Amino acid sequence: MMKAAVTLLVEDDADVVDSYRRTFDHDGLALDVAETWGEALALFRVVGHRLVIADYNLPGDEHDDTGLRLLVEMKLLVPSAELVLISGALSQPAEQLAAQIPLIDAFYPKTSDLPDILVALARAAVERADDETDWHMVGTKYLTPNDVIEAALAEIDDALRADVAKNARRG
Amino acid sequence: MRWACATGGSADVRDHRGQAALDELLAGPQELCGSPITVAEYTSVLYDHVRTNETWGAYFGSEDADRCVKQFMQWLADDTLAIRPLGRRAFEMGMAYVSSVAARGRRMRGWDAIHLYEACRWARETGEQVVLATSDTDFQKTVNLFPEFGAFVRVLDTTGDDAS
Repeated sequence: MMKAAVTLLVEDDADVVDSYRRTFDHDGLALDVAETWGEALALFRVVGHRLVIADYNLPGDEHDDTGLRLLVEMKLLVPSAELVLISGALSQPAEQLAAQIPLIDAFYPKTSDLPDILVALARAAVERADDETDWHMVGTKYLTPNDVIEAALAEIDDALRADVAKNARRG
Repeated sequence: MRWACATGGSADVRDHRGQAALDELLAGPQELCGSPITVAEYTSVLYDHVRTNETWGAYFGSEDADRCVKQFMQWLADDTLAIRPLGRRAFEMGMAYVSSVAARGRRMRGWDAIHLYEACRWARETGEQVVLATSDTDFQKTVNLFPEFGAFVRVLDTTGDDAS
């Protein structure tokens, strides 16, 4: 029996999910999938996955609908979780901004090699699944959002949103 | 603990309902597991009952506690009851559960949070819903607050009280 997943993918594009799931299955890695902000947070609240991979552009419920904001929520809930933001619709400047956000551990554009990168991250997450909680890291990561000026975070968020809107208009 | 109180001579009907529920579980085919917290809390509450002069535990003496500990050890020894080791992240996740509940203006004790996490972890490992047998109504209140827990855990109120 495959072990319970330690990785959560938050993605609403069924084709992308299928593709990642096949890659994970091929490597014998379990993967939990959530399609929406609320669904992801509910599952994460119970399980506290080691690794969360969230698409930037998520369908919203009553919540703010960006994957970035979702990861901020998750960071406060389980600070030791490794949080990765992905997007297929960002301009170069916005990508650079996203990569510099201290709240998340990594940002990746959706390039062709992304599934392999994510599998490597997931494999590492499985390897540390039975590690003791690193309380120093928990403390450090929990405090990280407090070191970020909310206005700066909003600026980054706005830039990312603008990109998504621009790409949507291009169709 | 309801089982211990009932066998110690409690007149409380909830203790006797709890005893009947536990006896049924012990006699049944299900796999019964506790967390290490079960052991610590059971022992702690047993001796609270020994020490108190209040009516809720006045009937319960040290001989009752010794008998109940011995019976508990017998269940462990004959594998009627197994104790699952805590997961490595049990305390971190316990903290997260307490915070989530607190954010909704409710209280969840730390040990209860860890116990609930362990039940969910067991459910994830087996791929089946775990029945959490308890006389503590706080568990059902938490599941009511966060229905997502219901996918992993069903709370069985051993006293038959309704927490919802």
